[in-house]
Amino acid sequence: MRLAEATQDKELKIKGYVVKGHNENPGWKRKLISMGIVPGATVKILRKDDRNTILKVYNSRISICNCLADKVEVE
Amino acid sequence: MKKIEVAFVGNPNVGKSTIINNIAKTSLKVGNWPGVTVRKTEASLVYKDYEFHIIDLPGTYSLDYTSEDVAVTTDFLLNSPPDIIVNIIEATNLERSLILTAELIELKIPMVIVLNMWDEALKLGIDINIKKMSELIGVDVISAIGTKEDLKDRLLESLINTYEKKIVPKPLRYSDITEKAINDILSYCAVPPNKNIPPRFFAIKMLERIIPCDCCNEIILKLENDLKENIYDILKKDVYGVAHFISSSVVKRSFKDEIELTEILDKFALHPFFGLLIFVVIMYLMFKLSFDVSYPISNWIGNFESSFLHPLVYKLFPEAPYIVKSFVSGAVLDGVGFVVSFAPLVGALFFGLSLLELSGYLPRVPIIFDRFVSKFGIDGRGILPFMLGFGCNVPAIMALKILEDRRSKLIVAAMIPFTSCPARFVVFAFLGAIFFKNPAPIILFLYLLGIFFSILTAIAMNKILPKTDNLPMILELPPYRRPPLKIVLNIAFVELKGFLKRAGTFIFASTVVVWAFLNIPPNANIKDTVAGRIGNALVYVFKPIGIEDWRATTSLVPAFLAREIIISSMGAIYSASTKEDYSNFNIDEAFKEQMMSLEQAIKNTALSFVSPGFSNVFTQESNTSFITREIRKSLSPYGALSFMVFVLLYTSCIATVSILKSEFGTKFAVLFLLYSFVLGWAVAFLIYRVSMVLHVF
Repeated sequence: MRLAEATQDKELKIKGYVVKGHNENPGWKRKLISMGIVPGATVKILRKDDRNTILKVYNSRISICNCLADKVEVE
Repeated sequence: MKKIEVAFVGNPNVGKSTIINNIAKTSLKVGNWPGVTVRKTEASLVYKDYEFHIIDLPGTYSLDYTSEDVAVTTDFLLNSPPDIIVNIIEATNLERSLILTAELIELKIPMVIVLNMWDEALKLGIDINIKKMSELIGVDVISAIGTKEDLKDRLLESLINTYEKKIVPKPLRYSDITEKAINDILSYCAVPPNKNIPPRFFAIKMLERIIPCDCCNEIILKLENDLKENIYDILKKDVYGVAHFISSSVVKRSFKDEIELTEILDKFALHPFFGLLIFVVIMYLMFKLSFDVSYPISNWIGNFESSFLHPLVYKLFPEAPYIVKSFVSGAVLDGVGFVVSFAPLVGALFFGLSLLELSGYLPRVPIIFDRFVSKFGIDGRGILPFMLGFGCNVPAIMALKILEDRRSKLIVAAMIPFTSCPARFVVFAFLGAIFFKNPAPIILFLYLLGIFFSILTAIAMNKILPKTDNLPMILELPPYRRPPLKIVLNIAFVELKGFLKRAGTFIFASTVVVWAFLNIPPNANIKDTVAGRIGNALVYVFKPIGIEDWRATTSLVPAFLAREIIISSMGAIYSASTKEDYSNFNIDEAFKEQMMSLEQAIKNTALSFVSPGFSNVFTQESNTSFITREIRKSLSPYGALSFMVFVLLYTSCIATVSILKSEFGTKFAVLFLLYSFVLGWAVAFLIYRVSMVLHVF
């Protein structure tokens, strides 16, 4: 499931990212990783609207746009 | 005396500048939002036999080049490594913070780790075993509350110890696969030569593809094909593994997560409807605080200067040469004095802005406005520098470094100069009080007009500039914090000091030049002086927008240096062109009158706290000095409004133009200056004509 499809207030585990090839390393992915949105991390969707999703990752609150949430796979 | 260079490095908004302010007694800009520090700032202090040179670097999550402020940190650490790195870590968010620490460890520079916000961690039930953490990483680890006095000695002692013993962190060892990839790069590819940083650091960056490397591609592709996984992912998993290992070894949580106050508040603050409503209420309260609370005192200072000090000069020194009396009263009192009278307004405005910055509310604003601003080609992040423009356009343009792509930067850079900074605010407040019974709606209209033309300019820029792919919006929301009153007051005081310093130096010097132009040639009719001739020539340009008096047009000329100079120039010009009779001036009576009006001003200030709307202090007959009477005679209310609109839209501030030039080049700065002049004139013309036809006043 994509993070953008997940419902609010649920705890989720990040599985990976949606990338075209295994040698891709785009800027958005680097940014997500450096901010703690990494495979294995537990996240909780605090709130979401049609543009942004606000996550609790570790002890931080991160706001990511839904276009980015659509690139993160969760379970 | 030994010199030690220390660089403070950490994630954004972990309190680096606050700690430096605490130990070095500096006044670096602080705030509870990521991106407060966008450039390298420095401080010095002497402790025992050591001179510490402290460098505050912009916050970063990793050592790369994703944005300009991050590049400042990366470049500095790689090209001019300090003697010691102080890695500031948010104790409440240890695991995430350790990812950057892992990168810093690879630099092999002596390091001290400071676990800041220790009190917040304890409140959350997070207990960190400092001794164990120190053993695992191999460097000193200190717990800290950034604003507490005891931190200075503990940190400086640790820095001395680290410096003398050259304590570098223990080397990291990743998984065998990663280590093999690193070694392959080191064996077969040429890493960038750097005598200060180990080649291993660069090999890792080459693996991450942050440093381009043709030779590495073959190694990386082979590994990726063998492992069926991106090498970057493998590498980051390793780094996270290290962070997780350290964190899980040293952290004990005594109770489970509870729903924190921040989450409750965010349910409202980030709500699409209530969020907007809360924003409007907060902005209203901030401006109410700035306008109402401070205006009675500002008004009193202005009157005290023009109705008491000015005549006092003539009364006490009747025999002094005219040129001396003219200089003291015209250039010093009526010129700079008028600007100084607005100091309470400026202090109050910065007090309000710092409350917003330190509370943690400011980073929520991009989310509230993201949907709206996306219509003109930027995402919500552009709102942060834009809002800083209400404090001062110059740091706001510098704060554009937090944006990643040049297109967004250009769009927001073209929006910022239309925001009403305090310098414009004092001009509006000054003229508004002279011409309008209740100037608050006029000032509010001008603020909104500035925002309207910011948006219009952004829409135009969005159409003109070629479309580019930019990094989607991702930002960290700090927890809400109670703004420490001491720090809020300190920020307001520092800004106020800066304003008064400008008044005493830059504005004073400009006013002296205006005063000199009013007296060249000596004893000439005022209209025949240099200033008079310039002003009269400019009347042809400004007559169509209702500014027909040469004294008003002349005051616009030096205003290019700074907008407050309009007031000091008006003071000097109108003072020189008016002969006031002070023969009936009685010092005792005038002083008593001033003290009574001060008492009234203090009462009005107190009343403004409890009045619901913009209080009635504006509706009083204020600034009744001879200068304000003259200004009132020289412009109609329509002309005054047009004058203010022109001042609002024309980027008449050399500091703003200079920073536009340095950040975006001469062509952009010059074009923007011309655009703002034409726009200012055209809009002033339209508003002047329409308001006259509609008889709005």
